[in-house]
Amino acid sequence: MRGAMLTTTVAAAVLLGVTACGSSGSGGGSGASGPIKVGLITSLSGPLAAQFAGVNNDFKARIDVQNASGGVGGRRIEVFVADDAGSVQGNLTAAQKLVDDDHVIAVADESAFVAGAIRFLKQQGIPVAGGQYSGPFWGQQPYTNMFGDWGSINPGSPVYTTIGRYLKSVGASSLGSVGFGDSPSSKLDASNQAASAKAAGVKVAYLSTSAQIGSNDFSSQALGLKQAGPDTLYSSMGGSQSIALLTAARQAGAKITHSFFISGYSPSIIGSSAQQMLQGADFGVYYAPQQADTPATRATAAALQKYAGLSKSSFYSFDLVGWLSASVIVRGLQAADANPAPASFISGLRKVRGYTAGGLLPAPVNFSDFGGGTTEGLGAGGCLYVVRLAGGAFQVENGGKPICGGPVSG
Amino acid sequence: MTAYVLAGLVSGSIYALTALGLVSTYLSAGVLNFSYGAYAFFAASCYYFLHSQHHWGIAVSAVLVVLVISPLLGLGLWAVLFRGLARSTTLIKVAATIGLSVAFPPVAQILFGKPQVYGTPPGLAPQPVAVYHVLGVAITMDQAIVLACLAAVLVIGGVVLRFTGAGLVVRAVVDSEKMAALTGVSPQRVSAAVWAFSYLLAGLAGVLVAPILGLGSDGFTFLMATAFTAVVIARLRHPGRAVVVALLIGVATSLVQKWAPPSSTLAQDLVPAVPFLFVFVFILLGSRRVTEERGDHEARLGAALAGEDERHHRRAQAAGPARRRYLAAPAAAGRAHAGLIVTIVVLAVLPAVLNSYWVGLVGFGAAMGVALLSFTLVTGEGGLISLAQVSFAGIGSAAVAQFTTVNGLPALLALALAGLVALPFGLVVGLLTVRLGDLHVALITLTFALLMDSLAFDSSYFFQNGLGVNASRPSFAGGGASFAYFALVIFALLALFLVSVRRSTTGLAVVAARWSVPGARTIGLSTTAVRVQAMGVSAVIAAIGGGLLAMYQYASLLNGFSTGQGLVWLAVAVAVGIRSPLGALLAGLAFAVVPGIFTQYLPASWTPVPTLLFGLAAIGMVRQPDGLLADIGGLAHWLGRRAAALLAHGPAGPGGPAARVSPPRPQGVTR
Repeated sequence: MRGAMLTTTVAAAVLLGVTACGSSGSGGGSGASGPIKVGLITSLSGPLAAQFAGVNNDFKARIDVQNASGGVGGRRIEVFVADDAGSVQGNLTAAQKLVDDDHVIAVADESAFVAGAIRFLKQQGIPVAGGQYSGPFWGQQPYTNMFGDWGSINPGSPVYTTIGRYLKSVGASSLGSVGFGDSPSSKLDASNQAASAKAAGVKVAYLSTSAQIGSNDFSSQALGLKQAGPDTLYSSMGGSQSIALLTAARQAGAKITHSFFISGYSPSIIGSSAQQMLQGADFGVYYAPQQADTPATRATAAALQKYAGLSKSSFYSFDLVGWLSASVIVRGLQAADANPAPASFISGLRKVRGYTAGGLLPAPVNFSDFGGGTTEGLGAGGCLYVVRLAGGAFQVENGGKPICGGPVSG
Repeated sequence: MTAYVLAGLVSGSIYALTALGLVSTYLSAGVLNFSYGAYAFFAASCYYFLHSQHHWGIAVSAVLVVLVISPLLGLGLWAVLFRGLARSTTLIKVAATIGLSVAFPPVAQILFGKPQVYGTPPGLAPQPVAVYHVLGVAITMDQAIVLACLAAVLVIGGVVLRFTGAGLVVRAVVDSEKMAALTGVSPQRVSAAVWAFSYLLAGLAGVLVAPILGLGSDGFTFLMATAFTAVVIARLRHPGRAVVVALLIGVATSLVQKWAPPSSTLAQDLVPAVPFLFVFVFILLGSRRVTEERGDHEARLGAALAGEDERHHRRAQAAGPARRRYLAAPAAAGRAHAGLIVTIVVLAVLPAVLNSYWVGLVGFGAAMGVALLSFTLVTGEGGLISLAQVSFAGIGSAAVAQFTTVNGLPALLALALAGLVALPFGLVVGLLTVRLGDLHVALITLTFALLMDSLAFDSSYFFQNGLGVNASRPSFAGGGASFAYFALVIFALLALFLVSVRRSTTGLAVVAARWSVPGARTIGLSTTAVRVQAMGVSAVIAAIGGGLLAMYQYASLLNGFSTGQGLVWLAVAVAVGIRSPLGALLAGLAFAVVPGIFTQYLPASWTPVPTLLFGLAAIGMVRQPDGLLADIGGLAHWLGRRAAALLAHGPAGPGGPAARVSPPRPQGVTR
């Protein structure tokens, strides 16, 4: 008995000691003075860590910019970061750490596993910013505490004219649209853009929503594309898989002359083995790409060079969602009362209209328009920037302006 | 059609290479290596690191990874691990190799970072990959290399085995190790060489399959499971058949993709089901001729576990009457029960003194403890290595969410019903597997778990566009502390149930079936029925655990119940102690709290370390079958004796009584 007692006492003492350490030094939240505490959840490790690399630095850079200009209401913003290790359970644990232990008043959840924490964060009344990942809750009741970086998504996911009209304008006559079967958003996006193309007068020759996340085996889709013979490919999959699909299709003999990818825009393509394959490919971007060279992009790039280590020879891409989430949080803190708290943050930000993230969004966002604003696969106001790979550089299409559209009538 | 068949043959060739490696080590060393897929992932990551990130040439990178690192690692692992496994029980072999499979991915992440791959990871063909047209079908150089590699391995392997002295020696060792040893052959050397060759094949498969699977570790689990299917159907010992079956699976998978409508999810659902369908047909048609040494394996496992109890019993006899009372057989169980009660009492105090973050983790750990308790019954008691417990837990999670949210039932009733929903799944899986033998149970439950991942857990009905389905807690367990208490109470009740089952006639029958199938049959026990029941009850417990996890998270999110996650669950359970409810509870807490500690106190680059530690600790089962719990118990027991001696006699010199208390040996309480 004594051995058993000692066993458990040792184990419990270790547990108690470790966890008691965690309970010390916290409490009181941000308070009326001192720094305002905000949190960031992202996948610093785990299966999607590579995709989210840089988000952390960009988030902090935006907060550094704000702190350099006096913070919010004269108070500095302090950032706490938690790694969800690429799992829904990890996302919940990270949220609990930030809320219960660090006492943050707002959270940015930049992870594909955000579904793990949304109920907890809703229950705690914590406002959440993020890049509209992994589910419809960014515009669906009761998650009114969720603020997408480019507004909220209509949970009905209507078909917009945006991409269909663009593809028609660049000469597409028939389309092959491919999405993941095990990602509802990717699947819906592939179907929606096929419908958008059809509405614009482009023949839909092939629609596949049976690809699997994590697999690069696109042999059946490649053979299907060869057989159906579209001249244009739309992919709602991740950048890596989209490139693998295009590679497989061309190797199989499919005559694809133009392609449009909803993600994948990245400086890593330049100089990579994929660069040749992607010549002339279009990429959708939810924010003003650095190549647009506007005052907003120049200011953002300068701040990222100063605070996040962005090199002068490179440019920002997906990692900018960290910056955008921090911008939403800063705007929420500004909209809250003098002593920001979660409730005043949410009520204040829900009244904000005409938000553009300092000019980075393709259209103004009305946070009061919960459940409206845009649809799956498109940015603010149903718009997107389009960049095209030409030679060793990206260039912004449509004269540097975003392409926009509205719901397909009928 | 020809193009699809060709694509299928390419996939099938990689499955075949993997299956060949698996069969070779099983035949020569009796170990079916569950870390094979994970090592293939490691090799693919290493090749990408060298070739793509550091711009080494294809030939140099491939030679280094496939011909140098892989066989050397195989030799190293043979020397430190596999050599000692040859005469271990099936449970220890499986647990150790699963521990390795859990450890390889985090090691790869630590060593090679987290590369963002654009497009297809390169294979052995130069970029851009050349495309040839044969009979009107496009074939890439990567595909041609895969087919050529399989042909080369088959031809060279066949020639070496049939026409060379080395091949004769290998065949002699496979036929009869003892007879071969009598002729002066060293079976150990042969075994080492086979392990090196097996890892060479794993490295080759990893490099070849990376362009198809990408660099995600989950895809490699599927590769391994598909190869396992071929190995099972080849009855674990026929390499030629394994190759043929692997090629057939590849072609069948490709044809499913051809015939399923591309705009439906049919292909996505059916492709992962193909290996299970092959296994199912095999079970229906050919399983009677399975040649796994079932009785022998089970008897050895039973004997090993019984040996532990017997040692404790001898200690009890050697101790005084007072100690004898509680150390009487099963002594370890008695100690663990006492420890369990004390642990629950200590944990009951924690919510009062901790902040809500740590209280939440205690609740999570207790819920996990319930799920892991299912291993205590099915594996710890029954000796069945089920890799489907995570799927049963997922079923429980989905059921609780459906019952509480869709049907509006009270949470407690939903929890009980969730167990009942999982019961038939457990019984059917048990019925299909238990009579085939320990290894087949592990292999087929792994395939079943993958099937559940793709057919059920990814379905839109449960996935709900990523939102999952809400799950309600009981009204009295809405807060973090109250939920932790609730989960602890459920755990205590189920642990009590397990303890009473262990002492019942049914429990004795389970142990008897584990000890010796022939022995149990001679006393009139239906070992199949007993073990099927154990599997069914374990499914109920796992489902209740899964239901608690859904309540903890306020939702059923089934991507948390993947097959890969289930391997980590087993690794944690084995590492801490799979034979006692206390082990399950502490394993659950470790699963929750250890990553929490790393998240809280260490940089993000340390995040892969807990998983690595769980894997390494599971490998430790080779040294200590009762897990870390026994080590801690042994240490605590020694400290207690030393403290008692000091209190009784005071500090003494070198010859004093306190000095005569022996320090704990590496074997912990099992000395």
